[in-house]
Amino acid sequence: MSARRVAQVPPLRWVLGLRSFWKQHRLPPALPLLIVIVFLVCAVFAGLIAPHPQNQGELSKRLLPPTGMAKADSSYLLGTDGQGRDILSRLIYGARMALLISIVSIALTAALGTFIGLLAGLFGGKLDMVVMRLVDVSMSIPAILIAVLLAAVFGASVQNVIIIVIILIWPAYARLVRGETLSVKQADYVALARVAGCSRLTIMRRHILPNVLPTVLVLMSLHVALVIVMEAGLSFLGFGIPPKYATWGSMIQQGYQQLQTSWWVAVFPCIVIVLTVISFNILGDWVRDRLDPKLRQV
Amino acid sequence: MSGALDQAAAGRSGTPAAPGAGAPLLEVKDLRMHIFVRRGEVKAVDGVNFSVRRGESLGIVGESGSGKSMTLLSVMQVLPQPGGRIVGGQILFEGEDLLRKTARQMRDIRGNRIAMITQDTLASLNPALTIGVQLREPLEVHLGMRGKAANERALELLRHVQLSDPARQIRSYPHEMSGGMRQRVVGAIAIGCKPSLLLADEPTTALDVTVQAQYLRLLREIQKETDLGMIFVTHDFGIVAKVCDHVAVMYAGRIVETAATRELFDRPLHPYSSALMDCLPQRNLDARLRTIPGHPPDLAQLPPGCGFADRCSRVHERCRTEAPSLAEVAPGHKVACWDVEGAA
Amino acid sequence: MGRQLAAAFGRVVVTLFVASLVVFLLLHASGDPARLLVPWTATPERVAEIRSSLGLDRPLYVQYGKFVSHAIRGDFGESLVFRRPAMEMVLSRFPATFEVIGVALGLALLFGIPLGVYSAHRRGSWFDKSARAFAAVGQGIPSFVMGIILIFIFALGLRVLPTSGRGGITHLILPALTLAIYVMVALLRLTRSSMIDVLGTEYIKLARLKGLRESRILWRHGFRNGAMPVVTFAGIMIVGMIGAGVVVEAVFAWPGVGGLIVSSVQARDFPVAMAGVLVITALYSVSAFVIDLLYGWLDPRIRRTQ
Repeated sequence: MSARRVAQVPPLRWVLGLRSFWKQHRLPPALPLLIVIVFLVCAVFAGLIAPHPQNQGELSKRLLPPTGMAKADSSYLLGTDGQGRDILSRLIYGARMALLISIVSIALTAALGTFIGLLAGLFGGKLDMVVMRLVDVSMSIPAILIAVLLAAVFGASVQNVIIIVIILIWPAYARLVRGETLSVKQADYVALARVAGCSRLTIMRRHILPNVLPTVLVLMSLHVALVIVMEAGLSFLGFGIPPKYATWGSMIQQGYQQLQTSWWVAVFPCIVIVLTVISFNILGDWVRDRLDPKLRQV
Repeated sequence: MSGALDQAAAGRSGTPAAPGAGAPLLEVKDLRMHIFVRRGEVKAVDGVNFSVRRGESLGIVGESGSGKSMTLLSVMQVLPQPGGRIVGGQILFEGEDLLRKTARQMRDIRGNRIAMITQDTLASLNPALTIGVQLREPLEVHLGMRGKAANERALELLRHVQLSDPARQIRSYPHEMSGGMRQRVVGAIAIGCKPSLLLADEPTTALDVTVQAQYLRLLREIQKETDLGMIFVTHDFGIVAKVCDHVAVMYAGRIVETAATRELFDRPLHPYSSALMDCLPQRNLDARLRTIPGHPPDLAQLPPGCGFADRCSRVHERCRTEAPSLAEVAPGHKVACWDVEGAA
Repeated sequence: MGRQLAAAFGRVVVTLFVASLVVFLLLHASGDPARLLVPWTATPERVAEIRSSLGLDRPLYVQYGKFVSHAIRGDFGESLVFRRPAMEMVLSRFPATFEVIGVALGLALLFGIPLGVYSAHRRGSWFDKSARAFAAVGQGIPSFVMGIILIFIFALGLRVLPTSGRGGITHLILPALTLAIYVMVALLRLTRSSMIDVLGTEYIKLARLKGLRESRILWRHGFRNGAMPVVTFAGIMIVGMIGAGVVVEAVFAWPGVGGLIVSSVQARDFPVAMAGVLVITALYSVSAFVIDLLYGWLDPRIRRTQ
C-alpha cells in the first residue's frame, strides 16, 4: 500500500500506526490479550458484572434460549439452563473458579517444584537421585487415575483438583530448576562467591534464584491453559469442583445431555473454554519467546 | 587400483584425455544465485565465471561468507531452502547446460557424474544408518547395483580410501569411527560412481593437521588415477598450494582474480589477493599475523561499485560507483580491479 | 541390550509398585478400608469377614503385602453395585477400550506423522501454515469439548452418526476420531519440530548431493533420526492418551474401562474403580516398556553400547 493512499484514509493510518507500534515493541498478540483481559476482569469482578446469581435459578424460566431466538427473555442474554439459571452469569463465575484454581495451584506448584529443584541441583548426590526418580514416577502415572481415586475416596472437592494439578505439573519445575541450578553452579561468579565464604543458602538466594526466576515464570505462564483444561475436564467428569460452584466443566456436563433440544447450555461454555485456552496458549508462547527462547522444547 | 574400477572408468568416458587438453569439463558462465529472505535478496553468488578441465584442479579461496560453498551448491543445484534460487547464468557440464535439466535428470547427475564432499564431513554421515548402507546407496540408485555386487564394490571403495579392516567397518555406525575414518568414508561415497567431477568444500577443516595432510594426499592420488576434474573450496592458501593447478579468489559473491597457482602466488594483482597472501604466517616474516581491516559487505545490500572498496588500500573514485569485471592481464591471469594496469 | 532390557523392566516394576502403593494408601486414608469395600447395606458379619481377609488388625506392611498378593491374583473384591468380581467386570470392558484406542492410535500415526514430516519439508508454505493453525486450535480444544463439537456437527447437525454407545462401525467413528485428533495434534507438532532440526543437518545435505529421491531422503534419512524425539515423548503421550481416553469414553457413553471407572466412581463402587485404575496402569507400563525397547532399536548409539 502506498504512503499517499494511507494518508488519504486517516483511520486506516491510525490502525497501521498502532500495528507498527505493536510490532516494534513486541507487544503480545492483540486478540488473545483482549480475551485474557476480559477473562481476568470477569473473574475478579464476577459479583459486580454478573446480572444474575450463579446458583439460584427460577424453575419457571428453565431452558430459555439466548436473546435473538424465539421465546427468549431479554434479561438472559445467553439463555438459561435446566434449572433456570442464567448461563452468562454462570460463565462469569466459572471464569472466577478457573482463575482461582490456576493461581493457587500454579503458585503452590511453582514454589514447591522450584524449591525441590534447587535443593536437588545444589546438593546433588543421593537427594538428587531420589528427586529425579520421583519426577520419573510422577510423570508416568496418569493423573486422571489418581483424580478418580481421590474422588472415589473423598468425594469431589476443590482441594482434590489442586492436588491433582500439583502431582501433574511439579516435575516440570523441579527438572527445569535443577538443570538451571546445575549450570549456574558451574559459573565463575558462583565459584567466586563460594570462595569468598558465602553459605550455600546465600548463594542460592543471591545468585541462583534470580537466574532461575525467568524460566519459572515462563513455565507458569505456559501452564495456565493446561490447568484450565484439567479443571474443566475433572469437573466435567464430576471429579472436580463440587456442583455448588459454577464451573465451565460442570456446565458442559449438565448441558451436553440436552444438546439436541437446548444446545446453548453446553455450547457457550465450550466456546468460552476454547477461546480462553487458545488465548492463554498464544500468550504463554509469547512470554516464552520474550523471556527464555531456549525453552522452546517445553 | 583394481581392474574393475578401470573397466568402469573406461566404460563411462572412453579413453581419458591428457590433463588440461580439450574442451572444459565444467564451464560456469555468469552464474547468479540469490537467496530471498525477509530482509531482502542476498546475492550469494553474483555473476561467477570459471572452468575446469579433466584431471585439473581448481581452488576457490576467500573468507567465509564470500560465496564459495554457495557456488558449489549452485553447480549441484542443492540450494539453501527456503529462499535459494538460481537467477541467471549457465552451468555447462560436458557440454550440456545443467540449468536446463529437469529435477529428475539432475538427480541422475548428482552423486553420479558430479560428486561433492561437504564442509562438515564429520556431521555428513547419517547416525542411524551403517556405513555400508550409506556407501551402497549411490551405487544402487545410479548404477543399479544390488546385493553382493554392491557390497563388493563398497568394500573395494573402503580399501581404495585406505581404511583399515573394511569388512568390519562396513557394518559399523558413524559414531563408532574416528574423525579421520569418517572423512575417508565420505570420500569413498563421493567416488563410488566414478564421477568425472569432484567438488570438495573445505573437506579438511574438521581434521587435525596430520590427518589433513594424509587426506589431501589421498584426494590428489585419486584425482591422478581417475583423471578427475576437481574444485577445491578452502580459505587455506597452504592447501591450495599443495593441491590445486589453478586458483580463483572469491570476494562478496564474485571472483576477483584467477590464475595458475604458481602465478598467483608469485604475482597477486588484486588488492584482496595480496592482502590474503599477507595474512599467511609463513609469508610475512615480521612475525606478526596481519589481518585485513573491516568486514565483508552485507550481501543483501551490496554497494554499486567494487565490493572490496571499503577495505581497499588502493581505492579510487571509480571503485565506488562502477564494478570492475574480470579482464585478462597476462596469459591465463585475470583480475577485476580498476587499479591494475591493463585490467578492465 | 540385556542391560537395557533390565532397566526398562525395572521401570515397569517401579511404576506398578508406586501405583499399588498410592491405591493402598488412599484406601487407608479414608479411615476404614473395609467400609469402602462393602456395600452400605452389608451386615456387620460381612464387614468383619472383609476385615479379617484383608488382615486390617495387622501392621500396615503386612496389610500391603496381602493387598498386593490379592491384586496379583486379580482379586479386588466384588462390585458393590453388581455383585460380580470387580476384575471380571473390568476385563469384560477391555475389548471396547482396545478398539477405540487402537483405531485412534492408528489414525493418529497414519495422519499425524506424515503431516508433520511434510509440514517440516514444506516449511513456510501454505500447507505448513494451515497444519500449524490446525495444531494450535486442536491443542486448545480439550478432548471432551472436541467430542461435544463432533457430536453437535455429525450426530445432531448432519445426523449421519450416532451420538453414543457401542454398535457397528458408525458408533466407533466419533469417539475414535476425538481421541485421534488429540494424539494426532501432539504427534504433528513433535514430528514437525524434530524433522525441521533433522532436515537442516549435513547428512541430509549429503543425501541430496548423492542424488537420492526426495521421498527417500525424507523417510529413510530424515525420519529415522526425526522419529527419536517423537519416541522419547511417546511415554508422556500415552499417559495423556489414557487420560483423554477416560474422558472420551465418558462423553460417548462408550462401554470401555475408562467409562466403567468413571461410572463406578459416580456410584461409589470402589473395588471396581480400584481394579480399573490398576489394570490401566499396568497396561500403560507395558506400553512404556515396548517404547523403551523401540527406542533402543531405533538409535544405534544406544543399541551398541554395553
